[in-house]
Amino acid sequence: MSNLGIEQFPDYQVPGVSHADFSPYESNGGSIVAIAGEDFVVIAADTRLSSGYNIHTRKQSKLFPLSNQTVLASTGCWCDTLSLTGLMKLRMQNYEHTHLKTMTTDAVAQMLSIIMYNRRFFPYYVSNILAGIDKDGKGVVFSYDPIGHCERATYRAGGTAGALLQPVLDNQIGYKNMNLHGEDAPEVTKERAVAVASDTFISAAERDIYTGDSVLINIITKDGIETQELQLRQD
Amino acid sequence: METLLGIKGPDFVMLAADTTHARSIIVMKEDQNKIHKASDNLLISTTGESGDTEQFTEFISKNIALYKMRNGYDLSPRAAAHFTRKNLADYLRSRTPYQGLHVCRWVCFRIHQRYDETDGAELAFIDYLANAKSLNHAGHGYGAMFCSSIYDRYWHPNITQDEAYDIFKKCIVEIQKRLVVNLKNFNVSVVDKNGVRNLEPISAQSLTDYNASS
Amino acid sequence: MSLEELCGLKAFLKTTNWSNSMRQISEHDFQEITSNFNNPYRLMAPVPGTPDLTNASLKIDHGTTALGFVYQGGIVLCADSRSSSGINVTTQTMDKIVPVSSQIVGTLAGGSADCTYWYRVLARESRLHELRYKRPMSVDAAAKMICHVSEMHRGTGLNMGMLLAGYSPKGPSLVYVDSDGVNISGKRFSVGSGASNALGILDPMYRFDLTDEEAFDLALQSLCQATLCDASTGGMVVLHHVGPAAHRIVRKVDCMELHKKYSLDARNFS
Repeated sequence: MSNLGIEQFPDYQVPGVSHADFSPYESNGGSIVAIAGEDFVVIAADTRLSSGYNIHTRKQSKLFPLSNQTVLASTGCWCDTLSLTGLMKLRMQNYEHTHLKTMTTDAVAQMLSIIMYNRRFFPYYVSNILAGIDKDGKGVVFSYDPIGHCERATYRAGGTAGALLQPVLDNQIGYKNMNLHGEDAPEVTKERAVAVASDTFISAAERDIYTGDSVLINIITKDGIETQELQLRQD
Repeated sequence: METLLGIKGPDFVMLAADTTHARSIIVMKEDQNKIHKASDNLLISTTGESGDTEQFTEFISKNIALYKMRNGYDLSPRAAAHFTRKNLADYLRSRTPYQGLHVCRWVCFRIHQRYDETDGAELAFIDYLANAKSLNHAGHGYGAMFCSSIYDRYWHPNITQDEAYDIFKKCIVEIQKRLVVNLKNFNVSVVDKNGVRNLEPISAQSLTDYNASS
Repeated sequence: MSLEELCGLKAFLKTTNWSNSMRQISEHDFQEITSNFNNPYRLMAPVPGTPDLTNASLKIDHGTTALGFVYQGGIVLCADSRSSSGINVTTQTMDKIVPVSSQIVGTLAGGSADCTYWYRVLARESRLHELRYKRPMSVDAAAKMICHVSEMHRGTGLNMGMLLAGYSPKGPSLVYVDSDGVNISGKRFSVGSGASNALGILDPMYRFDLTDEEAFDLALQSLCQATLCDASTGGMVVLHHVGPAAHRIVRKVDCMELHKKYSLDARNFS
């Protein structure tokens, strides 16, 4: 009966008892873009961490390498990001010690979904995108909603400028404007993916106050993760 | 929206319930039976928030069955009504963990009826605040608002099953004439010394050449 | 050390160097925050004095229209593939018809995470049922399980609307279950925001003795109309057929092509 574990609190006003406001969420901003290709995946996030109109820091990486084939990018409420990524690392370490192998990207993706759904009634306020190389050696992107709905995609934007950047990707990577069928669309190359990701961030820095300073770009291939950095406007 | 009707006679109780199952503005099902047979001589009919009604009716029925298994005899009609009332009242007033969360949603109106060899017929009316009253005739839902006058006018202590069925016809003619909600079809069941029987459902079609003034 | 080296453990013991903050987490806390890995029904409790989540502009993905009906040749399930959070379309390619077991298929509408999570639990449960009892789980049993989940989480904001379809030796069954704990079986259902639009087409044209082709066409037409009239329905239209032996995807088509096919012009000139 107590599987929700709620104590016996009356939901009506009790004289003499004052209710403290409890608003445990804050948006610390930041944007993510991920683009997957045939045998690689590019994931980029800006490095600005802010709160309201204040900038806390200009060099906070929002990319969390979970293994040499998987990177998680996470923005939103930074404290939730920290506890979520910390927990992910802990569980992955557990897995390594139990099974003597590293979790595959697909397994990490499902695990993240379940971890997030555990907090269904007090969600992690985060926008997650997971990128990596799957078990067939293909690049994949997984995107999440705050309570752990996971969807596999080939390209995705998230974070505060997510709604701003997704249409750019639809146009440049998905060729949604060109009336092409799936097989006719040119395959995205690593160079083009990096270039498009950089361009989208330059656009986002122009129009989103929470995105700027610099972009960290991780390029994941079967050989590991390569990191690049691009300076953005600092205003 | 949903409507339940019940009439107690000297040696039977008859119950009618509409068969519409609606979710917000959409009718999901037109042949939902809302009169549940809880034991050989006990009928329970519930209306209210869908889901809760099913869950609660099932909980009560299963507990009544359990009582019979444990003791070898059925719960008496009044005891069954009290058991139901007590459970409903406890749900309403508890703040225990997760039941507490849906207490406010246990909006179950219920008519609870049975025929007992020793006590005779019993029709228990239980509303969403867990008021319980044994009545001669009762109704729940908007449709029942039109029926009290009809009950008053036609019910008498020596009423027969045919007369009771006819009162339901009169009520349903009125409901279909005056209520904004379309309640097409009503299931009718009766419980008497022979046990539980389903009677012919009363629908708009079966009432086409019915003369309510007779 | 030699034993670890012998077992090839060295690589794993050395690679990991985690931050100190997470090292202090106790075994108990760790179990608590990942409780649903051990028991999928044990989600973390809402904290007392539940925080106001509306301020956080937490937008949750929502799925939309699905329909299903029983006819002489089996059961047809049809759903769109759009998932949106608020005014933003998050994806146009979501699978909203999911196989639960070899016998049961389900559609999802409502919160995507809620539906996918509990479908996953249901799939696990039905597989366990098969292993335990050596016969497939019935559709009614599956529906009952979802019902219990709904009942367990009354008033917590869980949002699901599911159609479960499957065959048993007794014949086809189609059940509607949702997060209010409603559980009704019937011949013809539509769920989601575009349900009323789809029903407008489905109801007058539905007969039990439809041929396969007629049934598929009717389902596509109804859903096509829902994609036209309902803003949060769209993307691909996926059509499943559940037969006595197996279920299969009949068609997966962009709703724009259906619009062309069923548009006023096409009907006039054909």
